[in-house]
Amino acid sequence: MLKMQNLSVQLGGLLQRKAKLLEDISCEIAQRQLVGVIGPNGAGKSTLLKSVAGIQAFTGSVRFFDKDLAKLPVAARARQLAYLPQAEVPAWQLSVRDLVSIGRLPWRGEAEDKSVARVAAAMDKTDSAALAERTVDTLSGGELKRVQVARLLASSAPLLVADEPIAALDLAHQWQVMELLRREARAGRTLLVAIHDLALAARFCDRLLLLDRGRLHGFGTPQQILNEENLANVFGVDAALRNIDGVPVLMHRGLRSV
Amino acid sequence: MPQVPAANFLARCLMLAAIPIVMLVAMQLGDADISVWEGLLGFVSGDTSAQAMIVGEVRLPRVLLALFVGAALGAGGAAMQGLLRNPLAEPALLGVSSGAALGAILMLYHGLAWQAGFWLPASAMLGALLAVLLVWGLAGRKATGQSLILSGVAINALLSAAMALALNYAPSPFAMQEIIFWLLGSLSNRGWDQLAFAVPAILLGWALIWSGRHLLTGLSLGEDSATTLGVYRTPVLAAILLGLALSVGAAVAVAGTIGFVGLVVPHLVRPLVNSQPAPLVLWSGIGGALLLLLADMAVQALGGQQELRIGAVTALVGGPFFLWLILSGRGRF
Repeated sequence: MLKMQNLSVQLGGLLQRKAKLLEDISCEIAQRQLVGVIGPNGAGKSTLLKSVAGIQAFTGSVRFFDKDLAKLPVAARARQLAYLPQAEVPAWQLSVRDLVSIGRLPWRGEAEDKSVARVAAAMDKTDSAALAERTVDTLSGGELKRVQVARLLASSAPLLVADEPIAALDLAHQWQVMELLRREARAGRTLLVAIHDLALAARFCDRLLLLDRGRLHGFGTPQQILNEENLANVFGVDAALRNIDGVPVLMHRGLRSV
Repeated sequence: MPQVPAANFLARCLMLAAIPIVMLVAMQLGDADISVWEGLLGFVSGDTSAQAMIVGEVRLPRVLLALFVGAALGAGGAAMQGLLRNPLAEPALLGVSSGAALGAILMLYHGLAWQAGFWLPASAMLGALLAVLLVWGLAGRKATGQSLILSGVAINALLSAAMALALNYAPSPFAMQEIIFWLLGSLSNRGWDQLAFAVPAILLGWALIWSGRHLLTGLSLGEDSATTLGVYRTPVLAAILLGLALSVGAAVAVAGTIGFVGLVVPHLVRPLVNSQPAPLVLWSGIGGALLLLLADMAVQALGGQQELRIGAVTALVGGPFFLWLILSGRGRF
């Protein structure tokens, strides 16, 4: 269980104008759930994920089961939580296999064959096994993203945090990665994923966490969150989530009429 | 384990095999025409013949020094590039070289270099350590690549100014010549004393850098990822920076500033380790040793009345290589 309490992030020093990026976010996420973090640009999605991942200073607390994540030593935290940033640029021309293996870094003491098996499984799941011997600089943007998702999945951490993992992917791979993330949740992990595609979010996520200008606007099932009112007030669009043959579809009519 | 193509494996074996061969050949070079093998055996068995003395007291320490100094520079370069995620980084960027150079110049300036073979390298070593501490202090405790580079540039500029000042007010043309020769780097007229000074510091430095190798691996994905992978911690960063100051500082302290080895070698070696930053440190050390042994062989083979300084040789080779690097990498960096 992931529990955020009064999580706030404020930028700016003593005499500067303060900018509140996140304000008093409190929310409880159950285990085995895929939670989509949604909201318009600048709502604080990335800041929230970074705070949970421990790379953004915040006030308040983030607890994962009985552990206060911010107080864990970084090496111990890395075994609880794996994080995929929005834009991760590899510095060197690593091979795909070596990059995915970096996901095993928090478990570097373990037996080699176990690590190799986990890396291979993660590459299989993300359709990147065929790329294994390529160097990362030869990949397309979408291929690189799949490899990075494989790096995330290679981790054994029970909590996975990913910032827009499907933004660069083609339709089939978006679908595939979302399915994969949901399967990881069913297998026992907890996932916190920033996502822009509301229809996919509605289809795959167990819960949605809606942010609006740094505040928690709502937390609940996709049906509860993606109502016409929220779409108009938070996203500024005239749209509705409809169910066509059991498939959630975002019917987008235009900008919100003032 | 990543698969190592047979060519990479072969190249690594060749590098390892080349080192003892090059060392033996390098020891053959010199004015006196003697047998290296017999001299070595004689030296080991305590023989005091001229042959044993020349090999044991002059040529052997010289190649060993080339080996260790080259390895320190190569490994230091690889560690710097990994740490800063920057293919153009080299240890000098941290102020190691200019700090050591200033420390040495202050000794040479006061003409103290003769009185004690120990004080010149000790002062240089101290300069290197202080410079790195200064750069790190300026950059902040958990320095990012960018701020380390910026503060490195700033401190280097200050140290260069101090060096220029020392040169400007050099007490005699003789002292000035000493300083300039020291700045060009050299492995000649060094003996077991210098080895005894440098090798422990270099080994300790390597141990520290090696203890932080996982940080280099993690940093290949950026600082945020390295942090969440649990490897980006202040003590680990401190270990690498101190390791660099010790190993490269000691190398510069006994051999003077020898440029380009730290910059060029990691680029040459990177294909052999599939660009992985941690093994790159090890193999850049081996490559650096080999390169400096070869450069010192060139120095000796060219001979002449005025000995060519090894720093000039590495710059002559390194400059064009650097150009090639830029030209071939245009559009990639």
